[in-house]
Amino acid sequence: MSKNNDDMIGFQDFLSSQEEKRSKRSSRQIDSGHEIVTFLEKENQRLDRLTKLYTEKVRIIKSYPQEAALINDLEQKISVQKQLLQDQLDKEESHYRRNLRDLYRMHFNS
Amino acid sequence: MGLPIYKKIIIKSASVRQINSQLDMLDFGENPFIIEFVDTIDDHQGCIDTIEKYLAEHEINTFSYSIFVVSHKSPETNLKVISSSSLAPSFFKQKSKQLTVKESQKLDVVKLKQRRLDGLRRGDFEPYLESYGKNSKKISILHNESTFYSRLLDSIKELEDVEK
Repeated sequence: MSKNNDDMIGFQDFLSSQEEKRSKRSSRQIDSGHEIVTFLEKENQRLDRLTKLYTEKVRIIKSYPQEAALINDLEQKISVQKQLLQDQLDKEESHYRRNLRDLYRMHFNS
Repeated sequence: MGLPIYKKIIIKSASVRQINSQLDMLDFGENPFIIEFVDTIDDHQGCIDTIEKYLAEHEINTFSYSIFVVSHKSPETNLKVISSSSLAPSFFKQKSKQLTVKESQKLDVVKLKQRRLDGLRRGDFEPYLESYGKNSKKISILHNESTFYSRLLDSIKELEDVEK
């Protein structure tokens, strides 16, 4: 038995290094395999989204355009807001008028 | 049948004939491309114009896979210009290798979808998407303007309330 162990001394290091190499290689292969599968799955999803954008979404945009109405609404809202703002600022006792009066008084002594 | 990963094209001459013959050998719509110029080429704009003309003449779709041009000279183009190939999206940076059966099956599905996208005509959707994009931008600007006026009116009202 001890003679058998002595015979193996030269081979043990070699065998263990071979096993390590094999296990490392196989785990790396599995990892890169998963990477490619994941990449291809994501690529599939990306192409699906592009197809959906160029077909379904464009069809909706073509059939039900909303932008013109939205722009019109916003423009009207802004014009009302501007008018309100002008009315507020134009009041005799508004902060804006008071500050302007103070400014003129300070600089032109009027 | 390869993975849809970056393919690098190195433009070695500014001559139209040579650029066209280089482009003739490529499978557009199956891979994203990175176009680089050798240092001896100064006229990047001229080369890019030739490439764009080729793409337009051959009605090549670039909407499934982009074409990136590496240039420091900020040329005027509809292609995507990057200053270094390392700045291209990392998604398509994969190592090419022998595929397993499962990977090949997945790739078959990808190729099928690529062909479907290739069959679409640019004119059917591009003008609509373009105007949709422009209008969305305008809506965003108007919305910001309206928010600004609202805030201004609110703060005036708050000041008045405090005074009362």
